[in-house]
Amino acid sequence: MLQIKNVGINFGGVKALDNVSFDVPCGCITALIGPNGAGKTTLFNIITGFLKNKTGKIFFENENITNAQPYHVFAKGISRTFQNLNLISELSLKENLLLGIIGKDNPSAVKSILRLNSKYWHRVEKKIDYCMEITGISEWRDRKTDEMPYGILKYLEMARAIINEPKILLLDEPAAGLNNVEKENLMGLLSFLINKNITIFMVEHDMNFVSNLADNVICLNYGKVIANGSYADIRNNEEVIKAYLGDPDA
Amino acid sequence: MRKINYPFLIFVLIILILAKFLIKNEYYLSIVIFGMFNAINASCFNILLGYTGIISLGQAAFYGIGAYFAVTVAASFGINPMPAIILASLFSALAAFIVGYPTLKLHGHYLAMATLGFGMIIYVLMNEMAFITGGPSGFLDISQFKFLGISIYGEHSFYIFVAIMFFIFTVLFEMFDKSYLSYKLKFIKESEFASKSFGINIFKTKLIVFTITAGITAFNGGVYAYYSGFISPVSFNFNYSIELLTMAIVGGLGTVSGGIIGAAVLTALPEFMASIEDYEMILYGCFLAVTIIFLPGGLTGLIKRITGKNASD
Repeated sequence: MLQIKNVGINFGGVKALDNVSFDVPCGCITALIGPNGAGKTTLFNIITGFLKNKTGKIFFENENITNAQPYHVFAKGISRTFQNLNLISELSLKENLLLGIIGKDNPSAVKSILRLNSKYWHRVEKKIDYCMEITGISEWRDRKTDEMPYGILKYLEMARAIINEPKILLLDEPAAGLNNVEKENLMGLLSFLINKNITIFMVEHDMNFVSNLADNVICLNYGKVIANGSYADIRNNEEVIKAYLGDPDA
Repeated sequence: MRKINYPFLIFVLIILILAKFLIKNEYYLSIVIFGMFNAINASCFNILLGYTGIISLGQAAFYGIGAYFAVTVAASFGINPMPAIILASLFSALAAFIVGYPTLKLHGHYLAMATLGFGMIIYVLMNEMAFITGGPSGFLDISQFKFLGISIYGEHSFYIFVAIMFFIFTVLFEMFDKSYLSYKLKFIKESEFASKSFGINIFKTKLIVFTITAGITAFNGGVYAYYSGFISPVSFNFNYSIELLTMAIVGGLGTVSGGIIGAAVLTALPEFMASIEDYEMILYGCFLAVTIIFLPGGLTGLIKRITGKNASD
């Protein structure tokens, strides 16, 4: 579904990504792991059009999306979350979800100002209700984000990313900052999304979370792919153990 | 979509009607008229800065372009004032598009400097192109204002025209505030990164907003020129852009009522303080400092805090 081919980028003299190649298969959960500074978020930023890669190409559903503008990438059906949540504190949870919709639908501004598209907004309200329900945040729909705990905001961010019905979801550390119960709920949500045929590609440091969910794991170190396979393969890979995971028996 | 704030619109309408019947003195009526011109301009400034995060210090230039273009086109080609004002509005919007295209890629103080530069250039042109603008002495050849065949002159008849125009723009600003567009602009202001990744074309949206607000400001400028009967560059210099910035901040950024309240207070305040002469600027400065330091939501935020409403409602 998503093909990364020989992608490379330098920041000054530092090779942040060096000849990175792998595929993200359709209908699966693929995890990207690696130590801090390995280039995981950089790769997300390249895929979503925020950074321009120096070498290589990116294909989504066999279409070349290399160096496409972020709004073009989004229009293809690629949605993402962030390490920093990027929510608007003065708006309610419900209103924050609108960002996930208006960029895709691009409703008529004139009709909206003159309030001529009430049917459309009725459908939007239904979508918002549905996404809040499946992410479990319905009861706080009218509360401001600055009144909410971090865990709720992470679910809100998930809801914002899925409200536009993406084909692939790029999650940047989805379990970071969540307690065990919230992580369990998040696992349930991701499994639900896979059943809805949304492919998931995530950066994650929580290996318990990765081992429970990921069909496929890719490990980056110093901008290079050092391993690609199932979690069991990765866990026993000498290079991955040395660079990131450590010896489980030590 | 949020509900239109009808009580606010009815309140504005009642104030406008009461002012017409209660204010008999033409001087005070002229202050109210200037207040309404300032309120429309400050609201446009508020849409730029308060909603979208665009700091434009060239708004006075668009106001001036509207004023000069309308009266010179009407005088040169003998066309009626209203078509001339509409042409001025379109011309100013075109100028904003041309200026905005390279500058709106900038952010923060870089954008402020770029728009300030544009304002300075227009101010110099207004002074130096005396064969069109009358130069520093100003432009006097302004015909009587007519709309739909009705001559409008004097404070009282102009008050009715400007009040209707002001109320129409207030309704439009309120409808804009409650539309999805205001959310879109607030998303852009808060996080361009997130907005881009959710499919919003930031540059295109900013350019459209900048162009439309310049068009409205110029329309307002055209009417102002016919109202005042005389225009000179000093009315459209950098100070006026700063005044608009101050009005928007004092009134409350990111709210419809912010521009209106800020303009009303800061237009009226110097008049009330005129009697204390030398201390006027000191008190004015103290008022601004206190408002900006202690009222981050501006006077609108204070009113909403007192009435128990959320500042974003």
